Amino acid sequence: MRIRRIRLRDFRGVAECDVELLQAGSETGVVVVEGPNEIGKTSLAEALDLVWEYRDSSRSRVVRDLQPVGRDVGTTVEIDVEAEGVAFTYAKTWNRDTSTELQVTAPRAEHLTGREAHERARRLLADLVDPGMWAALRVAQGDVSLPDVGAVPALATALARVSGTAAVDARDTAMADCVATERARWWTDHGRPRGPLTEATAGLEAAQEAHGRAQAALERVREDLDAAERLRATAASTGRELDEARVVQAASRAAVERLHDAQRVVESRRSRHEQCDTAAQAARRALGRRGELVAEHAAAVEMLDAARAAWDAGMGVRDGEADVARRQQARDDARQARDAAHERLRIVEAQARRSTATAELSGLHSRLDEARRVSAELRRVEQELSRGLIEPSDLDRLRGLDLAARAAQGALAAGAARVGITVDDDVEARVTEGTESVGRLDWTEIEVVDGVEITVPGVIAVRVAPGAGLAELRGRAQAARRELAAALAELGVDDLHAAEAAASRAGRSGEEAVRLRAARDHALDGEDIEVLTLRAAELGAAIADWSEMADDDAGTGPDLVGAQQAARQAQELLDGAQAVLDAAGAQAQHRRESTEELRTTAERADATVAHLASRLSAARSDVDDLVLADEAERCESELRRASAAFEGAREAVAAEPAEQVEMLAESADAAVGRLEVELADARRELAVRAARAAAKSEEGPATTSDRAEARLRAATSRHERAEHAASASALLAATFARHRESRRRQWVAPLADEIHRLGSVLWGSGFSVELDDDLRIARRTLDGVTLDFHDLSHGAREQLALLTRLACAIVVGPGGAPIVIDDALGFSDPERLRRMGAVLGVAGRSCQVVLLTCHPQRYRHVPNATTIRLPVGSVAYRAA
Amino acid sequence: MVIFVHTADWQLGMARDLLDDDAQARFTQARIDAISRIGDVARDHDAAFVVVAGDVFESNHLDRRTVHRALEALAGVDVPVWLLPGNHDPLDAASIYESSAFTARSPEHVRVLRHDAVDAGGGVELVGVPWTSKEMLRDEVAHTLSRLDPLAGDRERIMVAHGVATGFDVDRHRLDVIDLSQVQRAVDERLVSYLALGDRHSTTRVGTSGRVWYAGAPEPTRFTEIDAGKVLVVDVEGPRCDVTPVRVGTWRFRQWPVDLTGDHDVDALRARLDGVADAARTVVRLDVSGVVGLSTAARFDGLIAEAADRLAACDVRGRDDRLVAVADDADLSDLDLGPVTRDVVAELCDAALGGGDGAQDASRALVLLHRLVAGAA
Repeated sequence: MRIRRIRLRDFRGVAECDVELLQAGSETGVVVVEGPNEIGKTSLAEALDLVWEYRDSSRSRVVRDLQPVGRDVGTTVEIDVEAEGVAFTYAKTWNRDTSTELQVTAPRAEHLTGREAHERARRLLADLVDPGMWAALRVAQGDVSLPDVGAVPALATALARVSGTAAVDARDTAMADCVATERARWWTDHGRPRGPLTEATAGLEAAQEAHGRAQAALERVREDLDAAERLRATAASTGRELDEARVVQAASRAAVERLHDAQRVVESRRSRHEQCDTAAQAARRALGRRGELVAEHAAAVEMLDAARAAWDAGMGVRDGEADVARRQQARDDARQARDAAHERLRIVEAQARRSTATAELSGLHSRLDEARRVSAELRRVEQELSRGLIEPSDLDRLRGLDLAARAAQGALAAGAARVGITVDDDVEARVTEGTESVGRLDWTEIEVVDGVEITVPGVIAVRVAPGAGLAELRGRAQAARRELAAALAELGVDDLHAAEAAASRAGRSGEEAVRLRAARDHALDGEDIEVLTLRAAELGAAIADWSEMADDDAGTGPDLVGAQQAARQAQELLDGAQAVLDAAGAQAQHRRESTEELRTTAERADATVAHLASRLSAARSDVDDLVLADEAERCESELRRASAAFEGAREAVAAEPAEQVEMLAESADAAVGRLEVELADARRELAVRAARAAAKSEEGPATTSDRAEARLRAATSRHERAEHAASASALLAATFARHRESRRRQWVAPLADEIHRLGSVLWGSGFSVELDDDLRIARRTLDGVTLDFHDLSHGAREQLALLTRLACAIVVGPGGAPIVIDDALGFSDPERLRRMGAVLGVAGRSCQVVLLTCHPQRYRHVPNATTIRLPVGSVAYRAA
Repeated sequence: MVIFVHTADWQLGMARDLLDDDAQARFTQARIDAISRIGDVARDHDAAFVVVAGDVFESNHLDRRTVHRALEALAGVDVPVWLLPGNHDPLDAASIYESSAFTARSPEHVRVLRHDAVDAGGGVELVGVPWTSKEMLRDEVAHTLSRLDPLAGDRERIMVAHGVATGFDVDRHRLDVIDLSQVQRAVDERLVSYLALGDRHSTTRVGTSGRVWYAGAPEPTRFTEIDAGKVLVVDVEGPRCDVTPVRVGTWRFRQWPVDLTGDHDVDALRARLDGVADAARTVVRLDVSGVVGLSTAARFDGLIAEAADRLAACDVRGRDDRLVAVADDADLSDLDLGPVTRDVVAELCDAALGGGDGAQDASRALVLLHRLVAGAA
């Protein structure tokens, strides 16, 4: 369908507008209707809808709003429409002087008015154009949404015609719904099991678990039974082994018993042999002791005789005693001689010592006298030093203080007022300084330091006070004087001169003291007076003693050396005499002791002989010597027999393999013990296993297992059926979806191809789109980058939406509707506008395209476009 | 002379894979009820006693209720019943015959045959050859025969044993196989009058003497059994030995091959299934194969579902691998399919017919699609 002309009158702000949208004789092409805002472009697009929709009698607000403001006039729209073999003019006036008029010129002339015209016009429209397509091909200002071309039957028909593939069949759609519903029974959208399949799986797992438990219980009983069987066989074979082992054990024990019997015989004969040996030894000892006793007695008799002979021979001991007496006398003489020599030596030594001591005492006295004298002198000097001793440092301090006192006094005197007074001789005047009366005046000038009062009794009293600045000078002078006086008092001198004299004296006394101490030390020679005094006293006493001892009559010059030699010789003689005496004494003692010993020996031998004789007599009274000898012979004979028997038995036992017999017996015992334990263990384990198997068996595990197995089979069957059904549904759904998709792709291919063809002009060869089930662009791919439609820029979306409309119109062809675009492509850059112009030119070759715009430059690249400008006030326009 | 009932392999407490809970309960009860019918047979034939040649119980480890129900049924039998422990219920440490459930309620006339020979009265000696474990390591029958003396006078000796005998398909390495030549010699030497065997669930005469029989199970237990559901009435008197099988079983195990090519095969199968008498005690196994259309497959599945409700069990083998469901022309013409759906059907049919791992899934998907389309329609 094509709109060849549209005319508006009193349509909102448009007083009159008549636009020819197609060139005469043309059925396709692009018309650009341009003009400024408010000129009526949008009203043209709006009128194309209203004229079909609202009756002329409508009082709808939409209709009422069409009336120009402030003018009570009718609003008129008139359009010329053409289609395949159909042509008519349709006019409608609302609001005032309403009317509807339809003038059909082809295929046959008709003229209708009013309601009939309206109804007829709508039927014509419905016949000529798909309403969905009529709406889809309209682009309002700013509209970037995709048109709903999927709801355009005309497009579906066109696609089926072009692709040769039927559009989606309602039966297939219904079947697809059924298949999807069936699949949804078994699977989630994400392909996970659900519903009956999940329940069947859960049931199968539960049945498997229960069956597993039942089987395990039954298996445990069977294991116990198997174990019991094995244990029964083990017990039987072990029992047989035990019987055999016991036979071996009995034989081994018999062999051991025989061995033990033989060993006991050996032991018995050993004991007998030992007894005989003991008896023989006893007999031998008894016989020996008897012989020893006899021999001992004989020896004792012989010894007694010898002792008596010796004692008799030892009687010359008295000669020895006399010799001793002589030797003692000689020794006593020698002792007296020695004592005399010693006395002489003592006297000579006393004389020598007294002489030496006397000389030493004289020296001592000289030293003591000198020391005492010097010490007395020294004490005197030290006493002088201790009195009024002034040290040089003290003297320096005094000198400093004196200088300071005099300086302060000088300063005071210098600052004090001076009063000169002249007094006649007959006038008595007195002066008082401070509070102290000084005396009668007889001088002419005084210094006023503390205040002076000059009084002439009965005549005048003059008081002179010191100046105010003198008080500080006076205080300083007083303080200096006090400090000097305190230092003098501390040192015990009256003034500085006394101090200087005292210091001089102290220097001299010190030097004297040094000299005196040196003299005293020389006299004492390192010792003190008391020690020297004591030693002198001791020497005096010793000299007195020695004087008593000395034999002053012995002549002059005592011979100390000679006396000492004589004393040594006398001592040597004494020592020799003592030695001789000692030898003689020892010899005499020895002789005495030998004689005593011989006597004692003789007496002891006598007693021994008596004792032995007694013992021998007693022994013989018990057993005679001959009987004793016969008994010894008998025991020896017994011993020889017992020894032979013992050796025979021992050799017999030694010939037996005793160790082997014992080991075999021990081994047999061990085998029996081990087998008994094994048999007991097997029987015990058998009893346990059998009892447990019986107890568990009575719980009916086989029945339980059979039931569990039956349930498992049922669950398995249910699960298998569910799985088969689920698989079938999944396979059917997948197959269905695949075929539907294949068909849809084939069917939609002309539209997709057309969009691709137009889009390639716009974006190049790297452009492609993917359409969804509603034939909307779902995704755009550009140079390998794919984006969802909603993620594209505003401009790209607007361009794709326009492309979709153009492609739709091209596919549908002449049977379609005009594309009316109101001020689109506002978001496109110049290059895109240029290319879009080419695209619109392509579309204009196949269909009617009406572009309404106030930006004519957007469409200047559209080839073969007809431009209509709408200046204000224009009334009629023809496509150029 | 002695008349007795020879039976074996009661397998009380047996569970069958194919049976659901209800059918299993009926199956279990039928085996208990068989005891009463065996008692009836004994009474009807004036039998002196009943011998059960092993596997009285399916296991030694059954619940007390199974034992109690068996003993309750045994209490109703008028004659002595001698039970031989078999390989399923051996006299081991957990023997069910030593359990408190058994010993506390076992009737006086119900005895367990152990190793010792017992006097059954009337000049009849019973020699049991019980199993003492799940696995025996020698021919216990031969071993027992070697210790027997020839029968004296008119006494009869009935040996009761359990196990597979030579001449049957058996693992040659097994040590417990009963040597029938030894048995024949024993019969010839009058060591035994009759050998009552158990183990085979089909009633089977063994050897040529007519004195050695497998009684078979009184109730069938599996599809491979040839002549199950009977007991033997044995009448022995010196050189004469008459053995009469008597049916006591009520259950049937039927196995049919089914080749499906179209709806008519399904119809034929329906007729056959409908013809099954006593369906609640009949277990049917169908070995199906073929290639059918979706609607035929749907009909077959519906038929099986119905049969499963009616029969004790309906086990279908090959449904998933040997029976292929694909869309045929009728399916495509009958169903108003859209173009995409037709493409799907074509692809799935190719996959289903192509074999391989995905064939079964494709076939199931086709059946599902058919169901969805039919449901939508």
